Amino acid sequence: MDFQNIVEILQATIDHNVRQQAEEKLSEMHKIIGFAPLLLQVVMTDQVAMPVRQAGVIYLKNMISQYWHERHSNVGEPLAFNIHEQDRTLIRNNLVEAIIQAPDLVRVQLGTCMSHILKHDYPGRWHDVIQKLNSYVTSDQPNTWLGALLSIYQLVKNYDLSRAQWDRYKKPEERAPLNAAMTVFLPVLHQRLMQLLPDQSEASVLIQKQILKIFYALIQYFLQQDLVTRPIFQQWMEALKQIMERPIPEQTLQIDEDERPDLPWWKCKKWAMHILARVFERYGSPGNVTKEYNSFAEWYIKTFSAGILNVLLKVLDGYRRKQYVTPRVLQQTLNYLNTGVSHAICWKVLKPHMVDVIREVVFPLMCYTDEDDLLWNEDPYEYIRMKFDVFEDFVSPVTAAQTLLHSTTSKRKDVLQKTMGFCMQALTDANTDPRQKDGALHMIGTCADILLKKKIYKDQMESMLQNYVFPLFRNELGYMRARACWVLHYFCEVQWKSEENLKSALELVHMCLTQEKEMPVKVEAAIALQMLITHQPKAKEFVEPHVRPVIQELLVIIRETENDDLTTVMQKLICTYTEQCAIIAVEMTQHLADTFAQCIDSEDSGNEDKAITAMGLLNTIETILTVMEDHKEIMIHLEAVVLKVVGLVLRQQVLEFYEEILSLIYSLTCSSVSQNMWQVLYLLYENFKEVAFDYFTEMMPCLHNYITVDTQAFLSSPKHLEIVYNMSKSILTSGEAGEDAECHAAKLLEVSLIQCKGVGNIDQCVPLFVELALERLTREVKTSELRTMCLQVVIAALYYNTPLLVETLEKMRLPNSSEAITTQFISQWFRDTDCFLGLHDRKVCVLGLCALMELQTRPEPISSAAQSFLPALLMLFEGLKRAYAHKASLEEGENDDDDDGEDDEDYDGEELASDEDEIDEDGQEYLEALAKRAGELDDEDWDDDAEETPLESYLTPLDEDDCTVDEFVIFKSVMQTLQSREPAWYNALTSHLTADQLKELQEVIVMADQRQAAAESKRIEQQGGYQFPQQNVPMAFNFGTPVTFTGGSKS
Amino acid sequence: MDVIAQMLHVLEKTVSPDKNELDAAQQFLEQAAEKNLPEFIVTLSKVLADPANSQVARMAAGLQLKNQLTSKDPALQVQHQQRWLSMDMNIRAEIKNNVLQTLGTETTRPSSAAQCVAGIACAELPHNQWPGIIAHLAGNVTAMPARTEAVKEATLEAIGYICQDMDPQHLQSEANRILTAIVQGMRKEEQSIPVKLAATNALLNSLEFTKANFDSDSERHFIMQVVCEATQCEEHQVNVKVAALQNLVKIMSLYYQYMESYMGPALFAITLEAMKSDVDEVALQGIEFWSTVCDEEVDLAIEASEAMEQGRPPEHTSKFYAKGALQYLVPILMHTLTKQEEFDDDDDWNPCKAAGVCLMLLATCCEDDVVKPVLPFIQEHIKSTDWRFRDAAVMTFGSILEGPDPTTLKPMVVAAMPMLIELLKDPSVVVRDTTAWTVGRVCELLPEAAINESYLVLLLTTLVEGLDAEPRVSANVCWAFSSLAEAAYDATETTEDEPATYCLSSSFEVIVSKLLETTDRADAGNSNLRSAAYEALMELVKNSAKDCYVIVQKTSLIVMDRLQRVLQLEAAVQTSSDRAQINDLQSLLCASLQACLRRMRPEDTRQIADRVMTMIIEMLNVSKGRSGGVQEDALMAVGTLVEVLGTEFMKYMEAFKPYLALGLGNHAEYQVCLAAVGLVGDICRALSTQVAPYCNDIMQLLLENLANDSVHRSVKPQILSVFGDIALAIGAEFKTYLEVVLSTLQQASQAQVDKSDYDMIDYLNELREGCLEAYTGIVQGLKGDGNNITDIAMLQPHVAYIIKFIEHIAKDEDHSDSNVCCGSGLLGDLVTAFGNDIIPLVETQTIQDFLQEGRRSKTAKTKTLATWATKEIRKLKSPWGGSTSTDAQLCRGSHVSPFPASSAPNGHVNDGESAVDLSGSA
Repeated sequence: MDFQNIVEILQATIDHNVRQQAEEKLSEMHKIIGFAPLLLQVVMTDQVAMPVRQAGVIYLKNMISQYWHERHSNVGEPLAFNIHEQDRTLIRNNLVEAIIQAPDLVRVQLGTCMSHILKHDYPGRWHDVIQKLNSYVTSDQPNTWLGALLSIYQLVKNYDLSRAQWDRYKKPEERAPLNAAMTVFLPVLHQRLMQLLPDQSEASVLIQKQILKIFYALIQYFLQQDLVTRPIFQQWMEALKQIMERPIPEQTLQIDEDERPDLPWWKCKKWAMHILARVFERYGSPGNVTKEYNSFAEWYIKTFSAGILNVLLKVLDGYRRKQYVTPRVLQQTLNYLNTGVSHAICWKVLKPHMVDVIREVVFPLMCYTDEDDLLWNEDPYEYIRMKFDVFEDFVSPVTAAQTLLHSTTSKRKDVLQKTMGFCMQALTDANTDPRQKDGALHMIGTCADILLKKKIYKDQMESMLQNYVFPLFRNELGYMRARACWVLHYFCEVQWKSEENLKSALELVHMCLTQEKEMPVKVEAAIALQMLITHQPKAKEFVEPHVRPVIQELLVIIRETENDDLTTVMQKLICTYTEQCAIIAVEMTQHLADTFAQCIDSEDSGNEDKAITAMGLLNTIETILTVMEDHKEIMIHLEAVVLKVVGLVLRQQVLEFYEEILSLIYSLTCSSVSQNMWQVLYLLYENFKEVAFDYFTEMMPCLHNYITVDTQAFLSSPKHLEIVYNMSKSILTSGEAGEDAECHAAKLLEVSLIQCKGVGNIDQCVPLFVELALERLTREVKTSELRTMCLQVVIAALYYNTPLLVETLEKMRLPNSSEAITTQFISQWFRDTDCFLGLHDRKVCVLGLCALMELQTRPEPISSAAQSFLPALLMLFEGLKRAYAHKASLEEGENDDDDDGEDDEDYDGEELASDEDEIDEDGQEYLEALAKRAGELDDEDWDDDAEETPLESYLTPLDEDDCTVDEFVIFKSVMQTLQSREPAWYNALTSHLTADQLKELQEVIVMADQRQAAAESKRIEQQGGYQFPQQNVPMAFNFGTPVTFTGGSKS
Repeated sequence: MDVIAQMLHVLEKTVSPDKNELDAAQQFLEQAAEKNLPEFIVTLSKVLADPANSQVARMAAGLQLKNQLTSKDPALQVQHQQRWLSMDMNIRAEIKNNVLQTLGTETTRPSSAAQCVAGIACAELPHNQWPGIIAHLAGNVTAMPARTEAVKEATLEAIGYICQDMDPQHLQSEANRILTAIVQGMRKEEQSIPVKLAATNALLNSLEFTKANFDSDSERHFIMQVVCEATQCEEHQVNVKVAALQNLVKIMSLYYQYMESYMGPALFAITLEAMKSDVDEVALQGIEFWSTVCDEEVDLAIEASEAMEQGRPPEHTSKFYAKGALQYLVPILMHTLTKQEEFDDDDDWNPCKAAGVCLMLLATCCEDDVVKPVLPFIQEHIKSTDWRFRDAAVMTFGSILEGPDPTTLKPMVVAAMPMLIELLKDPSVVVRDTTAWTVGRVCELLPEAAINESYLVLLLTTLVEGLDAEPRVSANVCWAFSSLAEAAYDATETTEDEPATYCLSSSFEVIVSKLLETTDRADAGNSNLRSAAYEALMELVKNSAKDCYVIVQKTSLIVMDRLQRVLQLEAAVQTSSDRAQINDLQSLLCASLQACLRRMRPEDTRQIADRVMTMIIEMLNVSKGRSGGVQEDALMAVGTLVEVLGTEFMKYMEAFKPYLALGLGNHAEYQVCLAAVGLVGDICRALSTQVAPYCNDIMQLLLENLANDSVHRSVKPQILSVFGDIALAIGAEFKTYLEVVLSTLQQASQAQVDKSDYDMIDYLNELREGCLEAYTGIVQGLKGDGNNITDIAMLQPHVAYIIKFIEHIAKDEDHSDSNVCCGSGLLGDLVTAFGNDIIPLVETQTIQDFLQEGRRSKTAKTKTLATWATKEIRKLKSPWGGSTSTDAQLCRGSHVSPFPASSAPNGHVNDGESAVDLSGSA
């Protein structure tokens, strides 16, 4: 293994003919010490041909991502490989320089290497990287700057967390390394930026851009105010303002418009805009930020918003004077304005310009454009894809314009009136270009919900639609017909005074859907139809005669466009016209299945949109299954069709559809399990073994169905239980599945035990299950969830068959111990009783403890735990009371939600006066809810979650509403039994209780009586009321022996 | 003459047919009581105790004695008892001895001595005096050898009275003795019917304080056994039987939870048999028993659903007796329904009526389950040739309309309606009456089924014809129209203030004129027909669509003509019944007029205003101090007029002023006073500054009312609130009253109440709301349109207190949403008026939380005001803090907050904004 040798092998990997051998050679070599540094050397040698260097850097990157971190191997397995520390030191010592020197093509991959290494080694093994990077950034050699900045960027990106991950790093100590680094870098970066600003050369601007990207990554999700202090922040804002203000060099106008966004000058502005918009929206909007930013927001808005808005208004002014602005900069600029609309201080700046912005920026953006036209004619399917692409909305200036229009018209006085005046003029003027009419209608539609709330407009909307929109359905221009459908869609909630008009609207839409040639129009028509059916009570009835052709047409359109929104339309139709659909359900499903097959067979099946569409198709099939659930005879046919889809995906192992396929299997096993579906279980198991190990948690609902829906059939073949056991075992012993999956595996075992009690004999499994669970406990367990789940498997076994379990435990030994495992188990259980949360877990725990207490022959560990039982039980009962209350409040909450909607209608947000800020209380509530969910802000909130655990959605017979096993009642009866049967044991259990505990015990007993009475009452109700057998008055009444009255007092 | 003899003589005269003798006797007795009460009572007791005296004298003596101890007036009763307790121990002992001796010696029934014993016991036992009395009485019943039947009977009566009249808490300690005595008297072995009856009645009165005995299984078993046995008395002991059944009814309501041991084996059969009895009193108790079961089980169902919502088991559970017994009860009840009397007296309670009520309760209790068992009967008999059966079928149908799921009922009702419409013309008046009632219930409970295209026209025509029927029938028809009008209006689902048209439009004129005709019927005084017809008329006017306007307008003229005529009748009033009739009529006409005025366009109202005012003033003049009802309705009608006329009302002020004062001074009839206070508010809003000259008088009356304890408490919060209206109206001129009003408010804002009483919590919230509204009006009024610095400054010293008051409310967890609403508005007004200076005061966590609660309120108004207040606070904190920009005022008109203290009713169109014509149809 030497330099040349590696160059040659890498060279060979590019050659088709010898690639395989070359790759094999590399994989033989990669474990040799010194290989990775040598590889880096190859990559960095200018004399080596570029393709070879590229191949080398990719190999290096893969190696680093796989083998950099220390991996633990299980006992008995061969030691897992990782890059030797000696090599790692070498690479660390050279990587920064490598990035600085590397050509662009190589640099990107090296950046990824950097990121990996920093993630694992900074600050621990590589604390001096900061100093090193600092020296390069501050060096007077400009050629070292970019590489160093890229490295810093990787460092920051490692802490750039999405919302979901955010709370984990919220703890200050987690971010300490980043802070340490940024305390050093921030002033340097700013200084460098300021120094470069006057230099508009391409190289300088690229570096500026990189600095902005670092700053953005730093503040994107979290603005650390002790790091980015107000003076620092202020400096940065000044710099950003300058960047937004400065002109783009003239020479850029020579370059083709399509390529201009990629020019460094524009990219630099784009990042500046990103920061400005982000900061304003997330930290700078008083009333719309989380608590910690309240004061920052007040400061921000007073100090910066007006100045920045003035700069941005200049940008827009340029745009309306036909100066070029890139779409992203335009979009972010509009977004900034949009955030400003809610604040009085900003509105004061914006107000004088708003009408011009709407007429000359928003309006042109909303008109049909040349590019639209080109795409419509050349590739209508791509046109549809683009118009419905949700990702497009995040970057599209059109969407930003729409949003701005909507918020100003709804929030600020007079804007709506002026806008509508402008639009109506465009509509009524015979000379208006059709594209401008399109823009006007686009604007009117955008404001539809506001117009429909305003007293003075809402009554006119019906005739507006009738006079201006209905005729467009016959317009010769396809895009106008599409717009007509779109407008109807946006006005779907209009109150039609004339039923005839509603009928016309539906007919026109129906016509567009079924007789139209141009596909974009058909798609808009389909969506409009869905909206009308959803919001117009009478529409359902009018469309009913046409349902079948509509659905058939829709199936064709879906197949051709593979558009995801249309599958939603289909789902709506299926749910609305259940009966009509029943007739054609099989045909429809067949059609959907065919389209699906076509979708995944086509060449570009890797295409993301196709995947979304294919998923939509599967979801539609699922909807059909759900709706047809009660039509048994149809379900039989549907199952046959759906099975083919399921088989297709499982046999071809198309992992990306596993979630949907598993949902389908779930739907097909909800009420019964056919012979064919039992076969699917085997197929699932095969898949699990081969490729779908990581899909275990997604399989869980199906597996749960197999066990619970037809337990007799499940137990009829020992293979079924074997599959469940093997899958659980493989998850619980692999060490790779993650604790969440392991919890699921344990849950599966627990469910099996509880489910089979009283149904069949699975005694032979008890030792296996118990052993699996307890064995897992002997290895490291991080979460209390997994610990309790494993314990719960044993407790479920205890519930399943108490003597058998005791016997099993007594026989089992821990490794290196001669003592029965019972002691460890019991003590672990009592240690963890406070970790049993939610309803199910606590109930099982109580039932288990009761079973132990009631044992006639007690192993010693149980007897010696006597004093632990009741305190644990009392705590569990307290928890159960809360859990039952919580469950009830959730059910209540569901009912309450319905009422909320109506109130909102009454409160149609009034426009704001110029000097008013918007108070967005709903937004604020939402933020608070988010913050709560994000984590343990304080213990109280956390407690609430404890009343329901995620895994208890896998129901067992113990969780049914009419379950006859009541833990309170059982507890009471066990206590009574013990009191009379074994007074000494009873005494041992209770004698140490404090007065408070005795009181609690009494309350539990009372609760038990009440629950029993409630159950009895429910039973009487269900049997049709109290039964009166005796209808004749008896000859004599004797309810007891005559007494003397003592009023209950014993005398 | 010896004292006793004289007394004997006088007492015998108390029943003399000669009025003079009677009066003389009465006078003598009064004087004797006044002169020396102890001696008087001792004498009476002696007369009573001596069996040698005539029964008349003894009974009269007993009566006199008892009257010295008890009274129907609770206050007087306490006085009597205290007077008794203050008498000399020895004298009391002598009297007690005498009355006890009398027990069993009287030959008249009921025993007067028993009443006297009870009267004394009730005075003394609560004060732990006469300790041995219960033991003594119990001994009378249980002694061996047995005392005479008469002693036992009288003693048990005495026990019964004691149990009935005394607060149960004082008897608990004696419960065992009492019960032992009673049960002894009730035993099967007891041969004497009077003893049994007295014992059974006594038991009925003792049930509430014998809970401890009922809690004990064996004691309860025994009591139940005795009661059950008593229900099975021979035919000639029917009174005992009835009393025993009454016991069962009361036991069921008090001790439902213990009844399971007896329901199956005994109570079910006993009560079922009772229901079938030919003796009305027995049957009534049987039915009453099951009505009670339903009541209990409905309550238990509510308890169960509350517990379910909270995720816990209920403390008491239902055994669903009614549901289980339904199949047996329903046939009996329906059979009972066929026993109606043709010429029924409304006041007569009989098994037939009780059965109807019981059926309704069963429907509420058993919901859907009731439908199946009743349907066959209805179907079989609704066309029966026997009117009794037709009527019973309709009655059954009408009774089950509330309870079962409306979606279950709706198809049934829709199917039945044509038949019901036909039955409205049934030859039998009873059937027509019941049918009209049933149709009314349909309109009220299942309006969707009533408004059905396929028979609506027929229904309306038939109902209109029904207005010609007997009063009892047409009164029910009127009620049906009332419900129908509301249902029809609600069915329009319009978001507008008034729908353009609705399903009653085409028949509106016919119905209204027929109703007007009905009010004039000669027999409209019967069965409340006249007021029912006017009520229906008002509902129709209130729930009318735009295309009915002409009729509404016409109606207003007719109503005025009638008022005029009634006023002319005033002179002819002679009897008190004439008087009452005229008063009722005036009230009804005023209310009808008000309903019309609410619906009329302002320009039309203006044209009749003079006439309306002239009439109302005349009416107030003649009814002065006579009828509160008329005054109240008249004042309310004026209120409506004021709202419409606005400042134009000024021209009536001088003439009207005395009557307003009269209303404000009417403390005895607080509704009148309340209406007058409300009217002051209306007038202030309408007249604005022009009301100033009248304010001195008004303020004085209002302040007097606040200080007066005899003014009903519900008036006071309204008065406080009206201060706000006055302040708002007269602005700076309110300065004159500022000091006194502020100190009044300070007092009122510190009020405290007993928090365990929900009514008082509500009252406190109202009171605070009144204060908040008053402050709001004062702030807004003093601030005025401009920034009147000097006036508003007068309030400055109080601002801190006001904000503390709001904080105080905020911290009270019982505060209401409207407290939050008014409080938020006041905060907003304070902040706009006083600016930056008070920002520190409102920046407290309590106030911020309070505003947040408001912003998250589900009430739109609260949400708006709290949001507005928050914005005002934020505005001050913003760089331009303090300055109010011009367009902020423009959009809100003259007042600062979006809802001024007492917001005017709807009718504002968006100000400052003009619509663009988008219809394109022009």
